[in-house]
Amino acid sequence: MYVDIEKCVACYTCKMQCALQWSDKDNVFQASREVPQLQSRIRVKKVGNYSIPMTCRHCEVNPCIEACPTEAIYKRDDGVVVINPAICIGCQSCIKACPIGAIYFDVKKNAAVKCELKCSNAFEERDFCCVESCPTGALIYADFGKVAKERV
Amino acid sequence: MKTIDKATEKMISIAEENLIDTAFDRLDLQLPQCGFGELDLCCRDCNMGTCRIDPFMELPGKGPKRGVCGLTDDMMSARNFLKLVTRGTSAHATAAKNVSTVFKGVAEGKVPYQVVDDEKLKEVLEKLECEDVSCLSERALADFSKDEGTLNFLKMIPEDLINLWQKLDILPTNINQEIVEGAFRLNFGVGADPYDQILHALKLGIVDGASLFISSELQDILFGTPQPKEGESNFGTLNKDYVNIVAIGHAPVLFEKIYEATRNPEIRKYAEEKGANGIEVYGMMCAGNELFVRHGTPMLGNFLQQEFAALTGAVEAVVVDSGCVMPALVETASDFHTKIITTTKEAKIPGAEHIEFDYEKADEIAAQIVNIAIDNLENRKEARINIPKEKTSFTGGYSKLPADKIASAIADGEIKGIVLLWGCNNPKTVHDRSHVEITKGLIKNDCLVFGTGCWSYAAAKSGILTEATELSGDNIRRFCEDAGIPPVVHLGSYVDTSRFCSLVLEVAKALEKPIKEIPVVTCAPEWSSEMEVATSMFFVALGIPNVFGVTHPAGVANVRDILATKFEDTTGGKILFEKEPERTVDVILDNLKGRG
Repeated sequence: MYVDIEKCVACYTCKMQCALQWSDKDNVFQASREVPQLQSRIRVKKVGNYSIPMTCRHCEVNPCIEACPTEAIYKRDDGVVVINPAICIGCQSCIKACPIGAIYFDVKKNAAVKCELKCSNAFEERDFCCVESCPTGALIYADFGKVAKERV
Repeated sequence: MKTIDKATEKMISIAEENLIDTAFDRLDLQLPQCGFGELDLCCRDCNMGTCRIDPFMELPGKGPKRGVCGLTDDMMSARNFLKLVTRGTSAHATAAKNVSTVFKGVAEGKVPYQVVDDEKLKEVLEKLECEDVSCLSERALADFSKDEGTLNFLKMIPEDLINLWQKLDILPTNINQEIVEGAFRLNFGVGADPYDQILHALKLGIVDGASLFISSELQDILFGTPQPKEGESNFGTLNKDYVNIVAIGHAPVLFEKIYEATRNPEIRKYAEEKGANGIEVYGMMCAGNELFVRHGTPMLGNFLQQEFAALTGAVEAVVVDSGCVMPALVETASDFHTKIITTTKEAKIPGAEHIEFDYEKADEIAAQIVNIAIDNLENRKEARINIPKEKTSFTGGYSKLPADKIASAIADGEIKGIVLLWGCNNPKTVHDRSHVEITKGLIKNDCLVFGTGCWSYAAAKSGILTEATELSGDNIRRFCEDAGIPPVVHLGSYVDTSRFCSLVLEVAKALEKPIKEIPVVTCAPEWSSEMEVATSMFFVALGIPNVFGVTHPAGVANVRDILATKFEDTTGGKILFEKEPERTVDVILDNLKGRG
């Protein structure tokens, strides 16, 4: 996933849609009242003059997995990095290890949470919900070579 | 599915063929719509913002739960709600002011309008304790500038209710003052208490209701009180051999004159010289209702159909005044010969022809507009004419309602209650479906249904206005045969909502009960405009529950609770929400059951 930072207007639509994915409700009206409150797995950070949506890149080398003392974080066969909340002890080591700050801490569950690509089953045709919902097209999911070529 | 109306479906596919986008397509491009806006959690009232409040969990201490100024979610939502009500009220207040100004002109003999309905004039004069037209026009205009007391046009409200409003401190002094106060409360660092903001919205609701009364009473005097008549609806009514003019908007002050101009023998002759067999005005939305109830002109279509008028290729001019007019009309029509003519100084659209309406020169301006339409006939392209066949006959335009008979039927339990269905269309839900299904569900369950605004077209086009008797319950059928009204009663335009309010007041009087003990509910199942939110507050002030469809006008739970429960014990009104039409019927029936 790539971000065209010049296009991000920080509307947080991706954040809304992501939080909605973690709910069994299909609309923001009901989802926003769920108890405990839902948490989005994507954040929009302000860096200088730019807004940058940040979410897990499911890296090839995973500092988060290496940092986890209980092996709660692991890479699935399809390459998606996920957390097993039953084993997570809430030490927050992965949060410190992540170079882009894409892992968050859920105080109520006392566990780390992150993007687990819940919105697209094993890389189906469908775009991820943050990509699909972005009104300006700032989030792009495509082959790196193609994106690089287009942006030159 | 976008619509249940066959003609609209055809027009959507014609738009697709011509690569013209419609409200339905533009909604698709907007999706997903910003959740902060949908939840009322976005505030851009001052330059410290834009502020948003996160409805989901954030890292402790980091998620914004307050705006820069400290506004919390419910304060934000209440401000947004008051914003809707203030704007909606301003629309009806402006309409009422315009009619009052024309009425003053009539009293002074300065405008080409006259008193048409002497009987109605007598009735209104009596109600307001006036002697003549000039006194009545002063009373109407005084409602916009009084310094003390309350509005003259609240005379029809029973004393108990006025006292209650006074106790709640929601009795308005004058229309303009309350709208200014509404805007002031939305200022930087002014209104914050959600309950207090909603209370002012309630006061504005009363202002809105009084404005509706001013408009409909004075319009009846100037243009005649409607009588039931037969008419036709939908695009099939367009006659391809005629010069066709479509009227979109609200106030009959302009459209009555255009109607008169099309009946002028000289102008008709001019149209014939240009090769037309005749000339007709077709109304859409409230303008169409107003024209139909007084002259029986065809009712072309409702809010979401307005863009399709030009697409038929057989409309020479679309004349608009203000309110519910999509700026997209100009872009859509640019591909066809249809001219879009704006007439209101407040409601200009780039690319449209603007001919400003002036009451004193009403006849000339109307003739000018009609002549533009006639001259445009030669630009019509035969190959691009595409008129759907669908048209439906119906009977509507009721204004005298048998309140005593309805009251005794309610007391005997013969009818379960009276329900008003009203309001726009919204592309977020299937066009017309909620209007039609809720109406069917209610008459099956022995409720008497009244309707105004864009609901009228949904009901007329689907045929329920004529088939209502077969579809309704046994009790209601027996009652309607006796009372001489159909189970589904078409009242007219949005301002005719005041006729329903008068009916409720009369029924309450006949039953000697406050309105909150009468089984009456209103419902705006496909609402879009802020005007509905404003008038719904009038219903709350009167003591009538109002059910909204599509989405709730307030996004935050706390504000919804205030609207649903805080006035139940005092006025007896409340605002409820139900998205699904099937369940809306149950919600309405439940609320009727709980009252009286």
